[in-house]
Amino acid sequence: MMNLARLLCLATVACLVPCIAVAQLVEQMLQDMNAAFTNHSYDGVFSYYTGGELASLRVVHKEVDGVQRERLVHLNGAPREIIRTGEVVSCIVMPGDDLIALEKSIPAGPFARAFVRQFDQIADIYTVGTFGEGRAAGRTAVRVAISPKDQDRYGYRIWIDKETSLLLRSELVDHRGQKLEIFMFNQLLVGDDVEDSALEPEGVSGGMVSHLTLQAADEPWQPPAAADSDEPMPSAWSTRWLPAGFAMTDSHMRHKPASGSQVSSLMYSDGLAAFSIYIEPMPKAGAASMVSQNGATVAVTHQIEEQGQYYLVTLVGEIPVETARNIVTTVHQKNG
Amino acid sequence: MTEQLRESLSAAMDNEADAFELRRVLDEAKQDSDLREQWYRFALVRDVMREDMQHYQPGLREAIWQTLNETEDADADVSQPLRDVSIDPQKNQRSPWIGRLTGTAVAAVVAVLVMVNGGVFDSEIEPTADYAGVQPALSGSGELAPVMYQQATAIDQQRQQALMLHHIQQRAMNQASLASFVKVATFRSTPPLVPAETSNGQSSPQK
Repeated sequence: MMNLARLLCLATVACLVPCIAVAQLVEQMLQDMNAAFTNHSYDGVFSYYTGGELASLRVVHKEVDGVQRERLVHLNGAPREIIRTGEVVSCIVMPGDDLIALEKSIPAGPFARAFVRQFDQIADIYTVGTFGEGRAAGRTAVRVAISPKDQDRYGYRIWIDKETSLLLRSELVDHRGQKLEIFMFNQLLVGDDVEDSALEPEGVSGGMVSHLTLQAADEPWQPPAAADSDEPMPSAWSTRWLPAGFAMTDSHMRHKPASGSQVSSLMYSDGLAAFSIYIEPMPKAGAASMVSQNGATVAVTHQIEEQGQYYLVTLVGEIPVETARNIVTTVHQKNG
Repeated sequence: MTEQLRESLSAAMDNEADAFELRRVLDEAKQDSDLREQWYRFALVRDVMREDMQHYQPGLREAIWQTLNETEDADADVSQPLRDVSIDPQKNQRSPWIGRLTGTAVAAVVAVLVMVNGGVFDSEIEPTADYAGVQPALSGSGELAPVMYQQATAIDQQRQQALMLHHIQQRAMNQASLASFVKVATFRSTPPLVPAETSNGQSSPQK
């Protein structure tokens, strides 16, 4: 019996050691990848597939005079550019573009500044491992799989450049292995050859520029004076159920620019996946219970009643629709 | 309601309106109860014309078509037979079927709907399992009370898309990583509805 126990023990250790080693290796790779996004200069063209649509974009990144600069250019469809200089993001779009609806100021939350912020946080809910080498944009890559341990979130397969640790390709996959989003560099120039001029917008005639900034998290939220909502919105909302590992990272009240009505928003993250819950008073004209999906991003709208008042609850996030439904039906008012 | 606004509403109903146009309709609808009412009726008529009639009483469709055709005969503005449109419900062009419907035609259809059924909808309709907790459509006063209905209007889609964009933007701005900005850069309006929701759904205020 002793021998058997010892054998079992040894077998367990023999199994665990490589697992831990792999996890540490992958953790290091992901950290390097995060750093590579900001440390390297690069100019590349990538494809992005989501929601049945394929887009082609160019990205240029370079640090100039100590400031991180980035330029993202939509190469197909309506001209769109997103330019980031440090903390300021500017969007150049044509009149009529959906992106006009972007908010000028977004509250800063504790979200990751990178692909994965706290690796130890995701280790309980995702399994990580490498699965050989591959190629993307003509470069050799190490392939990494981040697989959820349950079906309440999606997994990733990522290709990390062996030489620079840059992300060359990533796939967002559901539990059946179906690819919901694919990001892949087709061509990539890395290093000092990246020109400063490549960061300058092309100045499409008739384009509109809007500047977006992060609002400091400690800045108190100021409600606009005019609101046509009858009832003040209760600010404390919660959910009765959340998938394992998800925690609220931010909540705030905002006004919808279009209608002036109040919307309470809650953000949740498991360290990798994220979703937002928006709660607003039920519009007088009613609303549809509906589900939309755009690639991995799902939106589910549901109605709840709290103390005789009706509210419209919409969950938006990169999680499976079944999970979104399960969460959205448990939204309730705290202490209510 | 101006003709231009009617045209915009028509476009919005078919998801053909551009962002500015849709915004104008939404803004107007906030103040203009007639416009909201018209919007609601258009949605009703759309169901009828798309022959999406499984929840309606038998014979209702024929009664509606008859009324529409009679109205059409009496109205010089209707240049094309409405029946052509019903044959091709997938037709997706600017200034579509609803643009050819005059106010009288729409009113007539609604009148028929109310007359035939004593109400617009078949009372047997069950809410879909997911949203069984939907709330009453009509309050005692006859005013529309908050209601969850199953078929999304342009306003509903607009609302979800605005929230989708907000979520994506919030992630991107806070994350400031390439991957999340890509989502913003490639955001497009009118994501397709999940088929299960649209095919089963029906514009159905619940009792």
